[in-house]
Amino acid sequence: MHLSSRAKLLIGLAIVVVLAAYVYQALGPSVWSKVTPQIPQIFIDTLLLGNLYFLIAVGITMTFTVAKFANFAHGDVATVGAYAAYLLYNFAVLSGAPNGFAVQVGLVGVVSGIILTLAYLKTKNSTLMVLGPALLVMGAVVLFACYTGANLWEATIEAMLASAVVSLLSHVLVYKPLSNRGASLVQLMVASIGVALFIRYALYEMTWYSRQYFKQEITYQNFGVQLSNFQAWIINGTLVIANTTASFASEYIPAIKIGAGGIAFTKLNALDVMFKFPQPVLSFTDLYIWSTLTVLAVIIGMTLLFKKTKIGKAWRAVANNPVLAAACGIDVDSVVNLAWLVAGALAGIGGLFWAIQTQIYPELGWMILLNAFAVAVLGGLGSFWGTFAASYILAFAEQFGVSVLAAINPQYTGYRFMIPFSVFLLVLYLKPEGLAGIKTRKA
Amino acid sequence: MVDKTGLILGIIVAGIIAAFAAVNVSYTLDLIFFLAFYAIAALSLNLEYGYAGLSNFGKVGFIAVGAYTAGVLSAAYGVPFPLCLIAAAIAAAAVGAFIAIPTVKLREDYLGMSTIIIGEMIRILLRNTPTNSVWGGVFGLRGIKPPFDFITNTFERTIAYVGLSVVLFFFTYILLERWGNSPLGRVLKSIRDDELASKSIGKFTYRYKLLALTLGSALAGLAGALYAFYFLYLNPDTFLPLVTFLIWVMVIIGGMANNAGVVLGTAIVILINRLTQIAKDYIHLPLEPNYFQAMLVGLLIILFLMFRPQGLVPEKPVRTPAWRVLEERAPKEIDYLKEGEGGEENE
Amino acid sequence: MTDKVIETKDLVAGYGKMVILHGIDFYVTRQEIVTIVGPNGSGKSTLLKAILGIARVLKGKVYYEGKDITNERLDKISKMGVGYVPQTNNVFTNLTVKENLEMGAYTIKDKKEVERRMEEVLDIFPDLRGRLKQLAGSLSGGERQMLAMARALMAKPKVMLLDEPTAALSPKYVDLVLNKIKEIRDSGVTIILVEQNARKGLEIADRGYVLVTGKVAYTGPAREILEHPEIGKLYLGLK
Ligand SMILES: Nc1ncnc2c1ncn2[C@@H]1O[C@H](COP(=O)(O)OP(=O)(O)OP(=O)(O)O)[C@@H](O)[C@H]1O
Ligand SMILES: [Mg+2]
Repeated sequence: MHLSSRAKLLIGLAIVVVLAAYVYQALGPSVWSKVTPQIPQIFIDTLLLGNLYFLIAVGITMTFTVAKFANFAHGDVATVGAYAAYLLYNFAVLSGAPNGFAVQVGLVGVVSGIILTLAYLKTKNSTLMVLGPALLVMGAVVLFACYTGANLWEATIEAMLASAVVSLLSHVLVYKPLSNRGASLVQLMVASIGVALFIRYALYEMTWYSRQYFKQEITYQNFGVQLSNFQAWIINGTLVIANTTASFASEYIPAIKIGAGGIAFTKLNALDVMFKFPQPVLSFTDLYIWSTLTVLAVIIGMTLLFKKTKIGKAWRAVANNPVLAAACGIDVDSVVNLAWLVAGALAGIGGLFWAIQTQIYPELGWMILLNAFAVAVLGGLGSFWGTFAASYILAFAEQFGVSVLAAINPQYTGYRFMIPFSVFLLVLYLKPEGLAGIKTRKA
Repeated sequence: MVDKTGLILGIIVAGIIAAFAAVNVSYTLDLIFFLAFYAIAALSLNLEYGYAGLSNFGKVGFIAVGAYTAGVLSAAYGVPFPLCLIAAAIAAAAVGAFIAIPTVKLREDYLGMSTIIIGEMIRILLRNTPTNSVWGGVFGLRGIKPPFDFITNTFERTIAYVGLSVVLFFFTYILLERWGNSPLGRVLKSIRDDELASKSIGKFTYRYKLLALTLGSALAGLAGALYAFYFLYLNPDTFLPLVTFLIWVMVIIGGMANNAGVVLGTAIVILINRLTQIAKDYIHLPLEPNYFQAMLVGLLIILFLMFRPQGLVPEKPVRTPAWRVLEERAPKEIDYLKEGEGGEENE
Repeated sequence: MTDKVIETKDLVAGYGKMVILHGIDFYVTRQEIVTIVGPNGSGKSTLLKAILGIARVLKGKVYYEGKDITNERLDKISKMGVGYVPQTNNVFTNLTVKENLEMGAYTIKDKKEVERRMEEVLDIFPDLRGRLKQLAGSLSGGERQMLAMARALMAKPKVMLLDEPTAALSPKYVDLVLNKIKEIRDSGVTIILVEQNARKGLEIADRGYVLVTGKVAYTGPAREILEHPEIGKLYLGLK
């Protein structure tokens, strides 16, 4: 009855291994022969999905470290960013001419941004310091996009700023006053659910409004970004990667050959690629590259921030011991604001990528949130590297599991959502402290 | 000074229901059923959150387990109605215990995150059941045998069923009142208020929390079964997380650890819902009322937590001897406390 | 201009609903060591926290160099030159020793100045020199206490509030720490010291306060308290 937690973990893992072996046996070669050739593709899909999970889950981890509660509104904060980017990207310019409505939105942003910035100069309030410039830039980007046409960079800026602002506001208007009044952990969580519902249904209201008054459907839409498709083959021991989307535009498509002889850029005949090349081992899109670069930038940026900069060290200090941090003269409120801001901005990019990969709809962030929770718990709630590892572990479990399900019966892929959740349940039973718990045990 | 807010609101609520009854009887019956259904669910949440401090964000999942257990047993196997109710409660309790075992000893966040995930997991599982089976997948479950089918007049049958629901509600209420005032209930409260202090009474905290979540889930399952036999049709997509949060609002508005308050909270939330539904036909706003209501739910949660965290009907403090001594010896300090309670300034 | 560095008048304070201090009059003058003693739970730590704005002041005033700082934010108070070493959790366990010291000097902008400060502080606490790269969470109790004081010294405080810096230390370390405190005072810092070990704490002090159930039971020159026929026996376990 009374097992040590290590014994429990070992027994649990043993059971899992036995079960896995049984499943492996039971499914038989007919299934595995279909799964094995897909393994390279599974890995690269894991990369994308892991990136997307990470960008959302890292924000949950960040706010958790300073505010000490799980923010249920994080997913919806991401949706706001995704919608801001979507609207900018698709509606800032209407057939070449500036769209009157977008111009107004931009002007309101610029004006309110200027007012808040001036208010900051008067009051020195640390929230206004961030809010004013953020609104100003958001407005300016909208105006700029109205005259030059929106590109993905502008959409990204808009997504980050919109989510960051909403995230900060939720903290300043709701969570901070609540915790100043001595709200319990559960009350803070419930409050964040309140925030989540408010944001989500405000977005629903917006989609309804658009349908009703502009006759414009803005829910369950594709984001509208044309992604390039890349495919890779291994031919005679060299890796050939080609941008197959380019075949629509020209006869020759750009390609890279990576082999023993080095790296070479070439052009391939589109017709050859289409008809003579074998089944590609890998296929991926721009988004795989963008999200990977973003995650790399985040990791490097956060490492530099936390290890090298004064504010980053102050952030860690506040997370560890807010009273002591204040005793050092650190303005704890500003540091906590920063955490909410950064978490929001990352959620914005995450939301944008999710929307590009799937579709845009008000429930988007909520659907991701539950997976992100599974990631956060697996990562040990509050551990940066734990979250990082957990993102890719869960992503792999999901991609691998889906391939297996599809190999058994394509209809079963509907159970895809169950995979991360089952892993989550398993962690809860076997190792509730998550991956971070394993690490601290060793140290 | 006794806070009369609860009493006054109770009278208003009763008045509105009476007014409904005078206008349209079958509408009122429907309303009463929903009151009973939600009240049972809210009371069960109050047991978990109000008394034991457990943050169950997956209530709707347990309701769904109860509903589908009853539905499948009745539709596929023709199990009699009372047995279905019992089976539903047991099934939901089993799921509750399964989740409670690893999570109740963890921090509240883990329980919150786990339960919400499990609630959604259950819905997604139900959505993915084969459409040609009795479960019905996204098309929903049909063929539940109507209860009280020996009553031929459908109107009378509805009255009988709603009556039964109300009886079950009273049963739940009395059960939980007894619990709340028993030594057990006080233990649960002490767990909620001070984990550390109650740890000194040993590993019992774990068992009590387990018990609270299991019993709470059983009651949610019962509510689910009542729902199934009322509509005789179930669809996975009626068991959305929003339902859970609606129930949370009821508890928060009513006042935690106060069963009467929670029932009042339930009535207020449902009446607001119904009245806006009616108002929608007369008042045209540039808003979609259903979405607006959900926004309102979010806003109410936040506002109540901020400005009236104790709810409309606050929990009665247990007047232990120590508190009385404090009142006698340090009346001044108690005054400071009362001053401080109202408006705490923060920059 | 008063020479009282910190003064409280009729201070009533506590946590949330609980009132712990019932009207405390307290002061410390420049370059003094004032030791606060009293039984467990008598509110010694709470007095420090109320001065620093951590515990809530319900009534009464706190002055720092004549300025009203009642319920002021801790980071602002600390920027005015008030150093604080809490009784527990007094180092950042997830930061290295060096980073802890850097955090202590958070308010100093000039990097050169920070480095100079660090050298000075490390001269006072040479044991820390070899452990700069180590995580503070892995230090021994005595080392932690040293680090906590060193961290507070980094900001060049004018007054330091030390909450039981010798708690749970071996006798050798106790004397060491108390000597350091005297050294720090001699360098011009005013000290408010909360001590469990009443005799030793009062021996290095100029004046003392005996706190019992949130009230000042006795105050006077430290020597007087030590030699008082009843106070010592009643509250402090002194023979
Ligand atoms: N954060 C807090 N919330 C509520 N009560 C507290 C808090 N901190 C301390 N108390 C209570 O205030 C009273 C005084 O505590 P305080 O820490 O000031 O005592 P102390 O004199 O420093 O005791 P010790 O010598 O044990 O450190 C105690 O009864 C304690 O339980
Ligand atoms: Mg103390």
